[in-house]
Amino acid sequence: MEVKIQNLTKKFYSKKKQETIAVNDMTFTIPDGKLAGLLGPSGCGKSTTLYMIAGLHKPTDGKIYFGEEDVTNVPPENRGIGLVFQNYALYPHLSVRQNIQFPLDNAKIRYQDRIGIDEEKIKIITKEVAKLEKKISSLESKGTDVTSLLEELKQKKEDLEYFKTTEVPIIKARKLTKAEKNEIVLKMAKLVDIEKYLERKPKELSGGQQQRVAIARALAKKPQVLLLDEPLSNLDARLRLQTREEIKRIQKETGITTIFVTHDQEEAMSISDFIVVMKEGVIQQIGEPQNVYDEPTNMFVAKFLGSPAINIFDGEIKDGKLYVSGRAIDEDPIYKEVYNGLEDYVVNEPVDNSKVEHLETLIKEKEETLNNLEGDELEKVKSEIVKLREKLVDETNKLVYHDVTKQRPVSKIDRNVFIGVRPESFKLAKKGDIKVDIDMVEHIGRDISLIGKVDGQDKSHLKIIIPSEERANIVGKESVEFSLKKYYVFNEDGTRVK
Amino acid sequence: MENSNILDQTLYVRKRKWYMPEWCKAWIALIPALFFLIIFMIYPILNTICISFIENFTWVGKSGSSFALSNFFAAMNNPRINTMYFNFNNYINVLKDTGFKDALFNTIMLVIVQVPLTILIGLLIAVALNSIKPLKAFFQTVFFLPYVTNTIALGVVFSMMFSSGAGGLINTIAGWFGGNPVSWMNNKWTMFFVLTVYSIWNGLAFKILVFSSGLATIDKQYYDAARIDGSSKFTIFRRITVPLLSPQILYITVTSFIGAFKAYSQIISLVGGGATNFGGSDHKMWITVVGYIYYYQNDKIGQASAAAVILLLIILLITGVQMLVSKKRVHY
Amino acid sequence: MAGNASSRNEVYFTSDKQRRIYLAKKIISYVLVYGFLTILGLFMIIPFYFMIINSFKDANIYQNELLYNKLNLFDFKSMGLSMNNFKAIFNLKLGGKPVNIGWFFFNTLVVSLLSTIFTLITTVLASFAFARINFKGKDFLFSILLATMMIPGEMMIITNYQTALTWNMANTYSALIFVHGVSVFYIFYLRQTFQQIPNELYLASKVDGYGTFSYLWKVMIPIALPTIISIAILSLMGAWNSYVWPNLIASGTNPYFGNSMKLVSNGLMDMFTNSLTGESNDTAKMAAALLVTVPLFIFFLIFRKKIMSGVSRSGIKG
Repeated sequence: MEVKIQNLTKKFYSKKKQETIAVNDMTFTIPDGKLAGLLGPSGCGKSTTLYMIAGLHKPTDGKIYFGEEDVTNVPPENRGIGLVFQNYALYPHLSVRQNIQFPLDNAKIRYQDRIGIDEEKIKIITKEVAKLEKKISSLESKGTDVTSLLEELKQKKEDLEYFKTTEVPIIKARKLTKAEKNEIVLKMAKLVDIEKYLERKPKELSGGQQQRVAIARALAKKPQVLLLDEPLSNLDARLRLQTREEIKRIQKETGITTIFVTHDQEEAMSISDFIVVMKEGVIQQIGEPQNVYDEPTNMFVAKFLGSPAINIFDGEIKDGKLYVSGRAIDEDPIYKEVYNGLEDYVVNEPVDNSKVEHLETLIKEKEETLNNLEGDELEKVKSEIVKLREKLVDETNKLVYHDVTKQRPVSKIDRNVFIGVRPESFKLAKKGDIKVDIDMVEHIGRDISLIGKVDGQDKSHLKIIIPSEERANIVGKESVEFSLKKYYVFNEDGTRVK
Repeated sequence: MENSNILDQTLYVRKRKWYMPEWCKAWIALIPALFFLIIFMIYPILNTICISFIENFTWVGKSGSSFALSNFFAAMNNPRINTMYFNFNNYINVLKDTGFKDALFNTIMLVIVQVPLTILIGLLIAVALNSIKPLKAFFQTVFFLPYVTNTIALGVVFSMMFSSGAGGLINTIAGWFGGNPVSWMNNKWTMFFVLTVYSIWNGLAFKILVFSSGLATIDKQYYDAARIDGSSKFTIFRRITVPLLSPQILYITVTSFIGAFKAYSQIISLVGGGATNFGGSDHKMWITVVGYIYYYQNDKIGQASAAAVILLLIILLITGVQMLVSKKRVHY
Repeated sequence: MAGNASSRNEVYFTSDKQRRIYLAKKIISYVLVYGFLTILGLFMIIPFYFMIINSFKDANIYQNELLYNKLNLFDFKSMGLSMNNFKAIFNLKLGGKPVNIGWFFFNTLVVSLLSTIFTLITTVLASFAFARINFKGKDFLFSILLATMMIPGEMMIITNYQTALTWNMANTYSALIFVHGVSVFYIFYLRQTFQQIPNELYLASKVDGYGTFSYLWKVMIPIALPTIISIAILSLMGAWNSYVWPNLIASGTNPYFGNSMKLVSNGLMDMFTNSLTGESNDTAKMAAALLVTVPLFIFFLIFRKKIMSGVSRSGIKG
């Protein structure tokens, strides 16, 4: 079943009438039968979105469609969803079998009784016709326009005639028999590989097993959509890899549209057909994992995906060229385009040199008197000196900060930019794009990992991965040249230039 | 039905036309309890306060309403009934009444002696129990027995144990130590001894239980650390056990004081003779505050109500003081 | 402690003398503790022993012992054990009319069972509402109820008596069941337990298609069953001990069935006041006391662990 989200918004109001926007105007569609991951840092609203799709939270605005049906106002039990909670939420007083069977006790199955005259339907439509006629007559007396209602009435009367004369398949609903329930429970248990533990209670199972039971329970009623809330975060590392594959396998076997929520990008990338990257309630990017990895729309997405994380260092656009530490590395007409964006307001508190001098003199004077003092007086002067030194440090380390509230719109061409390069996108070259000062070399078997700095940018921190065959070329060298196989250029506000 | 007839793959739950809102469900769940609480608890409290301010209050008609104000108005319209007034006289009369002063005195005596003793003994027993393993469950059961025994039955037994004849149990024991038989229940202060023994005997069970549970939660590591530091058993008790047990001690102290102030049933259990017989020739030897309330609840309803309100204020006062003290001493 | 006591169970000694001193200290402390407990334990048991022995002694034998200082506690043969006291109780007469003490037990049993059921229903529903459902005024209402826990019952009795009279509830079972049926203490205690059940279970059951009250019945109650049983036990025991209210409202005969409405405690008090047994039949009183004590004692033996854990847990939370 295709899941379509339109303009979904969720706002929370605290007791002091403060508004928090958890999910902000999200729109996306997940095609039928796919495994989709909602990815983002903690608190970005992904669980909230999931719960809204499940029906446990009511959206402040927007619509949710399952296929053609608008389920925004439909309660969770009628949506046909299965939900696996982060801490599994298994009923502790029931055995595994009873846990899986729990949703089935309430569920009904539709079946075709026979083909004939549908008496029920006739009754319902007759009632509707009567109600409509009453409504029309009362509105008519008030003088309102009833043409549309008359149309409806005509349609309904036609339907009535149809049902009175034609034989249609009559569909009824009934509860499941014990045998049917058993069959489903066994099938689910087999699917998640938990058959041996059917009679155990949840507290006798390990974390991974408990989760499989939760999945079985969610799947028992053959939902149209399966939702998983951070399924792997409670498992230990070894189990995580194993369970990842299990989830993928189960999804493929059942073919159910599945949405899961996670903050682990590796997890999302490895099994999803489709990921949605979120930040602070806003969608950053949607697409297939490899696409999102290769072509991030902004710096946030670029930084979020990829392990080890992408390297970010400073660059400059000047005269239509891209410069890094003075070297021009790229010439592209895009660098001649005007950038309309926001620039941070940088506050630069200058160091007050006179104050610094004053303090230094004071400290020196005090220190000279130390030799002539004793006992309590000595201690007193010593503590005074300590305090003065603290003040000195404060004065010399004045803050340079970006005042976010004072961002101003700018329009310019030449500007500072960020360059993002993934660790694997560096290639050794005789004369490449950048020069890197190497701080540390780690051999991790298959690759070599280099930690270093961009020449000329002391505050940068690079992690580079190159195949271990290149070892000979870096032995003993203090700085190495690299060419950049693939890189991204971002403006200061994170939007992508190239 | 055969599988071939089954349509939808998804199993579904019946859709309803209307879903009951949450608050509706909440009130449905609450109404049973609230209904009875309001009628039999909240309303009486307010009513009693009302009555305490009405002098000469009586019930108008045997099956008349219990609502204080309607009784008041009925009396106003009926010249044959003693006139009722809204004033503080009930309180004044109660506080002037020597009977009440006696009751208050008796109650305070009982509280001061019984509560600290019981708590201390209970604490010692709990600590002793905590330090042994074999026979622990046996002793716990023995000490808990009084809790499950009927108060009046025990009163009967105790009063017999302390009977005045030379062959009474306690008198016999006194005889072994060279004492003389005592007429326990006829003298105020000998009866005080009996009352105290009985109250302690009765009160230990609950306290021991709560202290034992509290002790069990104290991490053994604290004791080990103290042992390594070479502390004596007394120091351990004073510096580790008591502070770590302070939440339970507070709870027990507060509830014990409140309970002791409501002393009543132990006296009538010991004396026998019905609900308003407090011993002695005038049947008022050991009347307590609660006893006072019950004594006058049919004749001088206004005064009884005023006494009840005074009791409430005393309890609030004691509890307030204890909570204040606890802020410094109790460690959670 | 002796030597270098580094680990819990092993103690190292630097000399034989230290070891002996240590053992001596240990033995002394054991003797003290067990001695202390045993003495106090005996102190606890004496009244019970006294009660049992004297129930089986003939009244005149006891009178003899009392007057002539010949108290006999252990010499069973010369005590003349017999069942006379019990016979006397079963043949009680009050002012010429025979009194059937069986009614006391029956009434107490009925009241304790019915009031426990009533208490459980109201408490479970109310605790659930306070614990899990969100509604306006929840906190406010709960704090009011909490405040009433401090108020002594003596303030309510006078009014309740008159209310009961107004509604013709004198000498009925309903007066004994409903007036004190709801206890804020139990609601508080159960609410605490309900709150410890994770809320995800509620959401999970919603997804599984269950409504709020089905969730209560199928999930919350089974999980909180130990606490509910504790409440049931405490409530059952309560009826056995109540005296003041039954004395006030149920001392006569039932208007519908014509039986005496007294409960066990009231009946016992009557016997105590010599209105039933006649003067100085002390041993009959003992026998009566024994009869009253035995049922609860048996109940205690069966449910000992549950009773003790229920009382202690409710105590700690308080």
